[in-house]
Amino acid sequence: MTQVKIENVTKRIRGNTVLESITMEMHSGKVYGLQGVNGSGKTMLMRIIVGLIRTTKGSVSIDGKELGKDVDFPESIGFLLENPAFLGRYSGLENLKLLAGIKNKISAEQIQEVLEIVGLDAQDKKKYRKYSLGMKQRLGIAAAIMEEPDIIILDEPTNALDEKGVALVKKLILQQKKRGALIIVSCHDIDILQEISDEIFKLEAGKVTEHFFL
Amino acid sequence: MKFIKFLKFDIRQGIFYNLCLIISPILIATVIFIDFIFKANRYKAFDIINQFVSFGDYLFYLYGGMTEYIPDYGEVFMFPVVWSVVFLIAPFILLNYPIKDMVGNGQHILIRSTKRTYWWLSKCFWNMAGTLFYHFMIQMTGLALCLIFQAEVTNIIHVDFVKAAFRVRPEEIRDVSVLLTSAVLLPVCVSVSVNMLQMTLSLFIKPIYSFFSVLLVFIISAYLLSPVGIGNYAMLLRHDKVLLYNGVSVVYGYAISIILLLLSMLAGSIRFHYYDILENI
Amino acid sequence: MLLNTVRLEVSKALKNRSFYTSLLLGCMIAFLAFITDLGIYRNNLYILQADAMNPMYASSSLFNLWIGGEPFSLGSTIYFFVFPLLVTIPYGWSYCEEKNSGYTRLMLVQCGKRNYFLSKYIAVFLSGALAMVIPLLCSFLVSALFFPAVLPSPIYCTTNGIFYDSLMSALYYTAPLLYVCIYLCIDFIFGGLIACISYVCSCFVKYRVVTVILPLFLLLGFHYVRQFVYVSPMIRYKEISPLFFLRPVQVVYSASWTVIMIEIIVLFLVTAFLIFLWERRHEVY
Repeated sequence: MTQVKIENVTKRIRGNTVLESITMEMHSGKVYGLQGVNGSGKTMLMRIIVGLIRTTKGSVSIDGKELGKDVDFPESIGFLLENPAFLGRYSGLENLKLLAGIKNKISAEQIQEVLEIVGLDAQDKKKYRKYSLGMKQRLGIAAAIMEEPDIIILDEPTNALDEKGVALVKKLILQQKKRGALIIVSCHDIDILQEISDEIFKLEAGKVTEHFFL
Repeated sequence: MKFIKFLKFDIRQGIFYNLCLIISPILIATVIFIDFIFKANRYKAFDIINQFVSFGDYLFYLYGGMTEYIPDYGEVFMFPVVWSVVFLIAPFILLNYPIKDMVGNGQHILIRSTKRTYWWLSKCFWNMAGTLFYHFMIQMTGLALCLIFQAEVTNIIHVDFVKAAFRVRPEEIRDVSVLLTSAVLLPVCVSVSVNMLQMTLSLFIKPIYSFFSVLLVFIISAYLLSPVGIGNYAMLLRHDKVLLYNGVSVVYGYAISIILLLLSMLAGSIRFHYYDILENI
Repeated sequence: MLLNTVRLEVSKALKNRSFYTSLLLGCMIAFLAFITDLGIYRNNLYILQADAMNPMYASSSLFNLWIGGEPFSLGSTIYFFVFPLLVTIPYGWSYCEEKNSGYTRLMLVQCGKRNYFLSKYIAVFLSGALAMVIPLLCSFLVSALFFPAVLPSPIYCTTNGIFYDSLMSALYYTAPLLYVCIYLCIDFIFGGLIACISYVCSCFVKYRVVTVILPLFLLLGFHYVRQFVYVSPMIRYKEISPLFFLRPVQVVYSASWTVIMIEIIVLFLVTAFLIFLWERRHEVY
């Protein structure tokens, strides 16, 4: 049972307050949507949960362990932040193999399976730098879910995807939720967000202005 | 275990797949060697030197630098060009990889490291390995060329050649005849420390300014003979075993290099712990 | 259209933090040289006071005590070694960044390839040229507040660093202010052209930091060529390295108009060819 606790988080960058007094509590087996206009602080909040950015005030705890104090990064997390980026000289499969090799939790067959699930050809030798935007996005999603992490963070996962791709993302998110993962998704399309989320936090100018359950 | 995996990854991606790091030292060493051998032939033809040059002379030519500069109207400062090229190319090649690795794919790897310290330490070891590899390639290319051009493969130094090549006044340096391993390793050690300093500075200021700082360290060291200027230890001509007066101590050189290396690693580790990794670095 | 694009680019080039930082760094280095030169002048004054028979007023003047007039102070040494970085820091990286961010696509559609590349070239040139000359000019003006602008005398050519075969030596000893102005113009042109090398590098390299530093190594590499050219101690060569001949004072060999003009033309042709023909022909994705 994974729990993410965000308590009174404030982030200032060069004098600008990007996030102000954010408090949230999230549990596994649920999908949390982050809604807000550009620059409202969704991505920054996600980066803080991933551990890439430190808070100016407040704390983020994962299962009682405070980020930046007890642990640097959540132990089991997969993410897709803004634009996916991988090593250009490798194929999608090779890129995922490189990443998976660090934890050694999944086999080559499982990686191939994940690639097929997101709609990429595992046998395709095409280098990442030659991928289309949609293919890059799909590979980013594959990287986020391949090790079946406890927490999955997806920042605009439907970007650059066609209708089929969007449907696939929705299906994948619900599959991961069923598995028991805690999923945080941000999306511009409020309909998609309402369709997949259990709870939605609305951010405006770095503050949570609304929190509603679906 | 995880740390070893990161290190392997960094060594593979940042050294073996870094074509620039492989080709540049070979190219630099070849050009410098051609210049070195041309000079040796010229000096031999004019009877400035009695014996043909050796591998030791080549190493001295690489890391020699310059003797003390005394500013005066008639004494124009001329930076040691061979030395500058050898010591400035390495930080330039090693500047980009850690920064590049902090965005995109690197973030996946960083998160999987579970500890920021692992990532930083892995980059530190990569930086050291990269610098050592760079100097190793320069020296080995020189060694191979020595064999091809039938220069002596010994650590013997011909002082006549040194005096002529560096335009050293006879009363300035001692009659050194052998290049000690401890002396030739010190410039490499200094290079490792300064490159580490540059990587740490990149966490505080933009990479271009960290390179600028390293450039200043080297140029100020060349200008001022002082035990405080770390670049002095990277110049064989300024070692107390070579320079007659005011030479810098080799032992102090090692101590200062190691202290700077450790301090840079520590400062970088502390800084990286609180470092915000934004996409737009 | 072209005028508007040029105005936009020049404004971007001259109103950005990198430009101000470069100027600040340049001026700080120039100030370091000024401090040294002030010390030298004070020392010279003591000597002058002590020697009533031959006061040697013309031996230390504004023209050999500003950053460009002396080749031995730390500030002057640093400035004329790091200037390739100082000129590329302001805006040399801009094409690289705009290509990576996709801004180039936007501009090309808005104003066309020719206008975009030309206005970028002008802006990069201007930013580099100004970054090179402003610290020198500041140093000269500040030095003028402290040192007398005595007409230099060829008797003290060793302290002036301008010898009979130096570039424009006659002008230096007759109209030194004009000499300084002409030299600042040469530095202006080279500063701009070196910044344009950085622009050219952006066509081949995708990392901003690399495009900024690469011109320094190209100049250093070219400087190294001297080792292969200047082989005879009997021949009076002409200086070919910009790292030396951009100093208004002779370093080793004297500068020559022929070399300077050839290098200006070659640099201009190479950078212009690569930008306007090579890069313009490439498709922008």
